Amino acid sequence: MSMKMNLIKRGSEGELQMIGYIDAQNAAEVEKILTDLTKQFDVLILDMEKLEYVSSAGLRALKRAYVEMRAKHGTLAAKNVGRSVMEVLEITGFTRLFKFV
Amino acid sequence: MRKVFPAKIEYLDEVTGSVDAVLLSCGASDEVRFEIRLAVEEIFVNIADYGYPNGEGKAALSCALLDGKKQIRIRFTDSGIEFDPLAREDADTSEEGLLSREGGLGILLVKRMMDEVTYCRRHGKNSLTMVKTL
Repeated sequence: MSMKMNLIKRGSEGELQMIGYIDAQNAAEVEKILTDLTKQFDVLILDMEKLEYVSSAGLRALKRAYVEMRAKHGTLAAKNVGRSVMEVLEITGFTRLFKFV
Repeated sequence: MRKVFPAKIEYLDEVTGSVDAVLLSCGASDEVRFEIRLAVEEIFVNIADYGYPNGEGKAALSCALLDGKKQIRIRFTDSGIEFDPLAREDADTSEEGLLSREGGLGILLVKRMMDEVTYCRRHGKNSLTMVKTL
């Protein structure tokens, strides 16, 4: 399954619309894109409205983005998280890694 | 339903799609389909990533609807190295735990998404069975 991403740039803030799935097949690719974005922005907002699915492989990609952002004292935020994805974030404690906006 | 797949990540969509087809046939909700897809992925990916360190192998998937189609039983069987994914302690989901530890989240999710999860090793095979009420 795949992921499409649309980026909105607002100076040092970037908002990434994530569309589709993050699973074991595309997680490495998603991780690379997210870490590139953490270099580019001080604030990165992940709009998860159209993120339909995330597995533990996807969580690892998100965790890497968090670690990179934290290292540069930036902010990783999330918005419009759907119910099932939120359930995954809650069960795994990943809600701790995001600022919800 | 019973199918055998190469234990390789490239087959993930076929594996999850096979289970999803059974779920769609009995009108399972989107939420249940998500939860089961996740559990199926976590187990299959474990087998693909770790089950056959010295080469390639297969994973057998069986699905059965039980109790008048109110429950699904999904079983993965593989001949890989002996591995009980349920034997580890649950992942530490505190912030320090999440950041310091790799792994364990997949099985945590399987346990929470499915109603029953059991493992046994028999005749040189790992057998992981998951049951969920639909």
